[in-house]
Amino acid sequence: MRVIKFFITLLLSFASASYADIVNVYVPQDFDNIKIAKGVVVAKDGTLKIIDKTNYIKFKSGTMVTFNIDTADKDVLVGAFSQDNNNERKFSTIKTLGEYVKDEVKLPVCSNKKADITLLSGQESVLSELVTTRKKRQELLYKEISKLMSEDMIFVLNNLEKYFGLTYDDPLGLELPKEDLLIRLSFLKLAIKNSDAHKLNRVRVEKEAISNTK
Amino acid sequence: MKRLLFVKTYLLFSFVICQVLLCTTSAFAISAKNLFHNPPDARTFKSAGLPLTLKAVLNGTRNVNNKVKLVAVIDGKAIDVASNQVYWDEYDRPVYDFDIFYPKKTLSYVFVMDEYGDSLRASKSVSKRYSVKRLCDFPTSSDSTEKLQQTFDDANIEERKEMVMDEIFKLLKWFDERVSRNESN
Repeated sequence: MRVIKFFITLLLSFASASYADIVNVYVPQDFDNIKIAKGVVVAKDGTLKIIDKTNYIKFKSGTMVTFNIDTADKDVLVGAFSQDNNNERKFSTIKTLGEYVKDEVKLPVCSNKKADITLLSGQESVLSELVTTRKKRQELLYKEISKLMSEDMIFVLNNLEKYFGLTYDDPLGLELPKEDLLIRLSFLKLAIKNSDAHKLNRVRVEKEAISNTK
Repeated sequence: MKRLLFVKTYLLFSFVICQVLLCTTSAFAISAKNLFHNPPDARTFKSAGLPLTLKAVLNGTRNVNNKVKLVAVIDGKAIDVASNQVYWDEYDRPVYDFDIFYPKKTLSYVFVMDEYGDSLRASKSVSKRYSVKRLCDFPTSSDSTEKLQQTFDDANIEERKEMVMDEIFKLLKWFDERVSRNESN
């Protein structure tokens, strides 16, 4: 009974986990101190849900409130508010979840690290050489990768992805952007290793069960 | 004198009883709530796809037979991950390592603990949920007008590209070895 209960809970948590979206909502305000910052979700039927479990970072002119929304419905309205010690409240603009998630599709670009001029002055030629060496090494790696990514290997990998239920828009191949290729291969390796671990566990449990009956 | 001896015996006896009770209750109370975990800092995220090891420390026991697994949602795709290895830290607490990879955008996960390590007598518990979101994408070009800064930026960009290519190569090698091993079997 306990096991069944657990699986139901796990299934529910899976369902919510797959639909969970992390939303960042910016609340403009100039409070000195923030007492609370909460998320607000308005469903289609008008019901209002206040999300207490939030993280927030205070900037000079506002607060970034981050929270999880467990819904697949992109039409729900999402916002946030912050409150100071005098119980004064400031609200963010209310947008649909779809708009917030769409905003997040493209993350902002990080700024480049600042070079230590005092340390690197006079080292420019060495740095240029380093860039050339790194490019050459990439070329070599690409050649090796192309050799390993034979037609047979691509066939096997695509079949494995199908077997583990990993669906993507594009078939796996060298044409993919390198980061996407890496993510897909990493995911596939995780799925295989996980399947191996389950097999080992099953064998162990069966052995234990047999020895217990003896 | 007799009375003192009686008090001493009584105290010793109650101490032993308390110890036994404490040990048994703490053994039964071990659950995923006893797991201590430090989530990765989004500011130190590497390129997406590169290996990331999550560590969970189990407080209140030395027993390494408690089976802990990780249920993760990486960029919207769910997967459960078995622990890569279990070992004791300097305080004799079991540490569980989970090898996953840096997400493109978001990573959320829970730890699920199976108290006895088998599915027949399972007593499972789930830890709190952790969520980490990448703050920004790495730049792909330099925006500086200074020559030295430009070369420095290029060196960093090429280093990241090299790390990605290196990892793809390692993974393909792993798949290649596995395929050849299966073929030979």
